[in-house]
Amino acid sequence: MDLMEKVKRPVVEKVCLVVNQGEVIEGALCVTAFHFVFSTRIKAQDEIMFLHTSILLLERQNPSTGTLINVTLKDFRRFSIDFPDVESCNDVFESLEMLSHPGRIDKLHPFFFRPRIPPSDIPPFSPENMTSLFTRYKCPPDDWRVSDCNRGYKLCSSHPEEVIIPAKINDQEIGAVASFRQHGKFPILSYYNSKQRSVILRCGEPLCGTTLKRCKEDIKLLNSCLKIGKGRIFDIRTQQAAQHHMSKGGGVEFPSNYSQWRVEYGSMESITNIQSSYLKLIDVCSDVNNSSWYGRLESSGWLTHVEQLLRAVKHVVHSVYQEGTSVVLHGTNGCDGTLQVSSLAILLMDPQARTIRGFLQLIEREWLQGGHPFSLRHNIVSAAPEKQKGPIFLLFLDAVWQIMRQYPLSFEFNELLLHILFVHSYSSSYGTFLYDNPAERDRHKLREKTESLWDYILLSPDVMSSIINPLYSKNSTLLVVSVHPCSIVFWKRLYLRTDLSPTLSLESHEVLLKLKAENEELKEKLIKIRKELDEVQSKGREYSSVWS
Amino acid sequence: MDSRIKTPKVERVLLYQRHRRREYVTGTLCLTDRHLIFIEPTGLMETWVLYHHIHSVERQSLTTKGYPLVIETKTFRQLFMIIPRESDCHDIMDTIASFSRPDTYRELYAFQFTPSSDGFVKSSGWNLYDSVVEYGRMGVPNEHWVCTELNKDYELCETYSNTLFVPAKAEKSVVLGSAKFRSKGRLPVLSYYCQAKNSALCRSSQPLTYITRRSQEDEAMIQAIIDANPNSSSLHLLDSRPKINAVANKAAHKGGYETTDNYPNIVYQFNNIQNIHVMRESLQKLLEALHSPAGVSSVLQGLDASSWLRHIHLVLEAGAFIAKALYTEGINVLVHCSDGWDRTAQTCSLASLMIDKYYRTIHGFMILIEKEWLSFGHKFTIRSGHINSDSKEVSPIFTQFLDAVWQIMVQFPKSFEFNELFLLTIHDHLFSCQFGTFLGNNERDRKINKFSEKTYSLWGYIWSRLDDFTNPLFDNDTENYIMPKTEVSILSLWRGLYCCYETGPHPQELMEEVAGSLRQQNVCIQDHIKYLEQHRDSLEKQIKEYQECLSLCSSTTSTSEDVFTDESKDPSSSEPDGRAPLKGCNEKLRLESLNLRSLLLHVPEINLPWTPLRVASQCGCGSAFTFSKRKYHCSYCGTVVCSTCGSYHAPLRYLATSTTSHRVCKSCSKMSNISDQQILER
Repeated sequence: MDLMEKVKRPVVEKVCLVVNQGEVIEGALCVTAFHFVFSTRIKAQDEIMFLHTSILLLERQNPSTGTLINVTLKDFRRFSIDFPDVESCNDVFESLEMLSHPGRIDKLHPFFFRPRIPPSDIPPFSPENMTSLFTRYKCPPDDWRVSDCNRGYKLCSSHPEEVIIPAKINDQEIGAVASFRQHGKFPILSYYNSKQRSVILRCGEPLCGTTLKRCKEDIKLLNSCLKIGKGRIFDIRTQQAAQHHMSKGGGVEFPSNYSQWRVEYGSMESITNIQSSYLKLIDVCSDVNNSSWYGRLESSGWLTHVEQLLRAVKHVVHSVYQEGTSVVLHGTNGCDGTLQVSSLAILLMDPQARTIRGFLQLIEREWLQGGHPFSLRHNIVSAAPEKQKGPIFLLFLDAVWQIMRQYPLSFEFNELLLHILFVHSYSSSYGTFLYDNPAERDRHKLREKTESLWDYILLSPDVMSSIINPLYSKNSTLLVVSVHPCSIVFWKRLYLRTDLSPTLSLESHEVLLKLKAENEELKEKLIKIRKELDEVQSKGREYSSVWS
Repeated sequence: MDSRIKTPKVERVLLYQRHRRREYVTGTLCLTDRHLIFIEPTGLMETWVLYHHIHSVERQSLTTKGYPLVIETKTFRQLFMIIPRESDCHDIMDTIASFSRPDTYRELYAFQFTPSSDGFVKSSGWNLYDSVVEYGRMGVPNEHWVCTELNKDYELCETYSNTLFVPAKAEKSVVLGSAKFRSKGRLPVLSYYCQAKNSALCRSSQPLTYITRRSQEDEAMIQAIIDANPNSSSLHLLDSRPKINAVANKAAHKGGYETTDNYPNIVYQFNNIQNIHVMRESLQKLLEALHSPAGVSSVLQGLDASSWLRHIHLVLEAGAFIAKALYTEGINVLVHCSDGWDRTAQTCSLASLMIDKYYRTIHGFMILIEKEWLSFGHKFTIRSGHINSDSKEVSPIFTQFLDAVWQIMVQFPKSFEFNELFLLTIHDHLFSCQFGTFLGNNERDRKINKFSEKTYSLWGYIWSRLDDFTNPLFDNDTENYIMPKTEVSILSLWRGLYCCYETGPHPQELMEEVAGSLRQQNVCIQDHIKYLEQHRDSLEKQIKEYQECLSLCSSTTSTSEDVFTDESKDPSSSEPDGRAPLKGCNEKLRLESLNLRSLLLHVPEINLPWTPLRVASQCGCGSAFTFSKRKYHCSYCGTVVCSTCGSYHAPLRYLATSTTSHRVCKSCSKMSNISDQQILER
């Protein structure tokens, strides 16, 4: 085991952990090949354990002479470690630096992790296949079909092998379309509204270039989605950004070629801008005592990204659900902002996506099968170029949280599930979020070699009882999200972690669970007592009839 | 009609829903003697604005549609309308001006207000607070603290209550001398006594220590306070002002501050809370940022630039400092600012709220306001601008206090018996002048104006609709001492207050409504189960008795006809002969059977399930549910009603064994008055 060789000092005694601006806990530090463990050896609650890959930042004050290391985790937890001597500090620092970025994905913990999953009656997770999605969305077979044209990921590595495409387009034509779209990402159906017969399609940018190349199969494909009226091509980028990409061979659909479509632009920022916002946000969150804190939060620009994302989603939902106008969504690769918008739009329109299982299906379908490059964006192995890093998924989770805040009773789960997804998408013992697209996951046999996060969530009763929303009741209507500037709220519980417990705590969760359980219990008891009374009554009736 | 209403009705007025987006409705503006009412022609929407709530009316320059009028209320509502004719515009402004800020108390709403018949009586709420009872609860008087009668007729200090608690050791001359040496006679007196630690919180105004003045009596008073705590030989003196303000007061010969030279055993600290003028401007800036912001970025910028949360932070921090000193260190604290009726009231009441869970109950919170604010003379009339007075003296001090309370509530959702609506309701009536509670500037003022005889109390109103204000998550077993985080980053913008009239910022579904309804239903089912159990038991007993009676009678020769022949006779005249046992048996059988039948006749049933809250968008009375118009269930029929329609409380028929009354709607309240007996008699 070569990672073990990087552990220079497995145990350091008398280490001080400094949390919460000054609170000091003394204990022992253990560094294993995968885990960082701190324990006071007295109380289990005081134990802190995380994967080395959870480390976002390691800072040393006065390198080579100081004994203090500042650690920031990817889930915004933050603390300092004070070592008894410089040598142990040096050793641990070096080990952690290497172990937090082990270089190769197949050296990560999921490949060595075999949890004991207790036997359960609950069926394990399996991704919803396209045929059942096709049926659930009530897609008319005259217009749409399930195709396995991407078998073996031969057309596009960031699409699933089975896709739903217009019925009028044959697999050969799809091949031509794929070669006209960025990374072969041809348009596929992401959502179908059976009432309005309108759809969301998503894809990569067209490879028009400056020569304004056209592809008749692509035009045919898009046009065959339309019933009446014009469709809407929503390029989530700004107009300048879209035009800038023309010089790189990409760009946006040229209006005269797509006369049945209206091209619109969003205001989504580039990944680089979102990343720099995120870095500023981390800074802001470690500066909780600053009295100009809200000014600093503003200058990070994070909430503006959230606001813009929700505006784009609202626009798409309005179009598809209320106007009945179909929408084609794309940015550059169709793997980042495009997925944010499509998955959030589905969340607002499809009640199934707001259940626990349904939400995991949504993440599986729109994000994992949709080819969001998790390993690159989350810098899993430290080989990612700066330009590729970006918390696109976190921004999505933040937007989900905003919707949940507005509709706290319409989700079967609470924000703890979002927290679990956030943490595990960055660093996990489960393989679910590893690699950059379904083709890579398939090639590395992830399904056989690692455990699924989805099963961990669905099959462990503890996790389920902590993420369930006791007051949930199914809401079949469209969730109309408010984008009023005062409606966008900072997600304090996630970003301003002041304690070191691995999960967030929801103060009212226990009370609500208790209320709900009590209600169920009382209702049962009521039925029982009524039955008893009925029996006594019929007995009484017998007697009273004897007399009269 | 009131001569102040020049034009009672203005047609074709444009009211903007969202000014920036140019969405507006056309309708009629009516001016009554209490409200400004905008009515949309379809009748779907009515906007009522109480004159007393109006803070400012401003006319903007003429547009093609007419004369724009911007009305802002003290409850943070902004109305933008366009009046077609200039003369109407002028009349509206005059009417609002004369009604919204009258010259005398007599003209305020409270002097005309009578609640609807099912409400509460005039006296209710006025006797809620009794200082002797409240200090008694804290364990005072005791060997260290006593009640003094020196302010019986307000001769010591006119802005304090007439019952004050001072150190037992402080002699009369010391008390008198100390009062003389304090601004406006506001000497150091006991605000809260922490029985668990024997520590005391005292409050006062600034000492008149300008030039080199000192007072032996005042110094003795402070020493007496220190000596009243057996566990400590020092005192934290918290001057909640910024040091520069204290120095300026000293320089202007208006006051000053204590120095360790003259007061050797004190630890002095300034807390940098700004004065009323800074607070007023800060809130104004915040509101400007919240009115039609361009994006979330401008909201955050405005929040930062206004410094509003920074002020809340300082107020909370001072409260937390006091609470820590009293509760964890067991040291006495004396708090003052300049006059000791604004910042001092805020910090003392917040500290009490952190130390004593009683103040986190509905009853306790009303007592806290009575004690720290009303009895110690916060100038409610002047600070709220109830009647025409200097606008420079108006300041959102009490609003800021409620905001700080809300900030703590958010951090401790299980520790408060009351909910957000409770705070919002208090804030609303701080300005509505519908109740006499917040009228007047001090106890003496209220007595002279006889508010308690002539007006209703807000506390009576609140007490009559307790259910509306109860937090369903409240857990009575939480700790006494809670310590909130006070950093600006932890504090939030209170959207429920400052954005109350916007629909977007509030959750579209309220967790609290559902949790409240669940809790209500649980109580109902529990009671109903008890009722059914009793019914079952008595039925079983009756069957048994009937059985016994039947077997007894069947062993005799009597027939059922005898029963009826017996019945025709007067039972009391039955002859004392040998047939008596048989007759008695038949009679008994008849009664037992009747009893049995009556028990079988009707078992009222609880109506389950209740209508889901989500499907109800408006109440039967026509009013739409909003963030402040909450949804409730009728315990009887399970329909969703608003608080007014569901304000009836009745012991329910199916819960006949319970004495608790339950929330029911109007029609069910009529039905539930019919007792079981009456139903049987039909």
